[in-house]
Amino acid sequence: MHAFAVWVKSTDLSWVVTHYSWVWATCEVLHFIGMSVLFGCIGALDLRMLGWWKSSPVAGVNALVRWGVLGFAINVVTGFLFFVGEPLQYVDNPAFLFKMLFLGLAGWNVWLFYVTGVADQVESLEPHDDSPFSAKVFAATSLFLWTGVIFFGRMLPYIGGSF
Amino acid sequence: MTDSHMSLTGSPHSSPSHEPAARDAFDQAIDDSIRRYFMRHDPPARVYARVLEATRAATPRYDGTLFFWLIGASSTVAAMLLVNLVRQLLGVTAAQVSADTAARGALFLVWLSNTEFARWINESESVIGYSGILFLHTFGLAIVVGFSTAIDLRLIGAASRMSMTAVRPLFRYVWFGFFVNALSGAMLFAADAPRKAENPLFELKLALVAIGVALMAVIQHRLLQVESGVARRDSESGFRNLAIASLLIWVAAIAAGRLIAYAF
Repeated sequence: MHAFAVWVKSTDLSWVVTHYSWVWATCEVLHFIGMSVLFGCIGALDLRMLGWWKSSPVAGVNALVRWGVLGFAINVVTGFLFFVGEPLQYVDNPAFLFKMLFLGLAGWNVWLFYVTGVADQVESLEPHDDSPFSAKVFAATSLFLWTGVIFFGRMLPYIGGSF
Repeated sequence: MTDSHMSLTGSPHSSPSHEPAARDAFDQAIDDSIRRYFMRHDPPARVYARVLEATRAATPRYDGTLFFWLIGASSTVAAMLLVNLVRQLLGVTAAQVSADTAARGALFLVWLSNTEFARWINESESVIGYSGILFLHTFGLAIVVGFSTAIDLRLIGAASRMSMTAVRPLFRYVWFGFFVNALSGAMLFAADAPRKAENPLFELKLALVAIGVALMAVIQHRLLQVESGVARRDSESGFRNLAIASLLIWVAAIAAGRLIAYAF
């Protein structure tokens, strides 16, 4: 793992990310924008399924998910650039490992949500319809995991000394 | 006994022995006695309250006073900050503010950052210290800008299977996130008051957040007007402009806030 990080550090892309200070700062701004879009659009669907907000049909809120995916894509790209720029400060950082763990679990939660057919079940819910218990579990898990991703992302400088 | 019960439920075939005219007279008598009963006896307080509540819920009334003050206050704050920022950039502050006032302001900031609480935030190694407050600030940001984005996207025209007013309940989460961030932001400011106060990016960020709050308040105010029938529904382009402005302001606020850590 260490050898891999050293190799990543030796690439040209890594040099570009760290040589121009504006690249890192711009990526930080984009990473926070992507985070907000992802959390808001996925969170809106989660809150609808939990029943904390019921005035919309689930199919309507579902159309926001693609925007959440856009936010996620922004963060994959910018996060990848952070890693390429300073791989050595991430590979040994426990906060980074936990962030990746929560990210993986969140992805698994999304996969299960679609594979088990719960996504299709809730698709037909009209305004003020209550969603089945299984959908509420998926929604609560999603909110918890994404909050965890934000928490460990924010802890990168404080637990492991990244910046 | 059975007959009178049947006629109360109003089923026409349940009492074949009565002539229609006789049944009408019977119903009339019941109606009269009910009316007379309620003229003499007040309905129980609980029934009365429930009827009132149902009537109120059925006819939404909207009083925009709260939003009037919120929009007014946040625009005033934004305008003051922006004017001060421009004056600072033009270098006229030193000439306008007396040395005495400036010194008192600086003293206050130093005092603030040396209070027991501010020192605890800075020096605590625990996760509820500086890093925990910073996490709350990031979490609140994701809630405020995230749910604002969801609302704005709908008003711009995405997810049009929801009605426009269906997103209105999301505002309570926007304001919850804003409350979290006002509180955590005040703590972060206290911990580093003198340096933050002289950073123009910090002031710009505050101004942008104030504008963002004003825009969200305007949007919620207008959605409530549409919901209660005060405003007509054909104002979609107005909503679209407000939503685009709000998205741009939030992006700018995030950029200014994030760059505080880099540029100065």
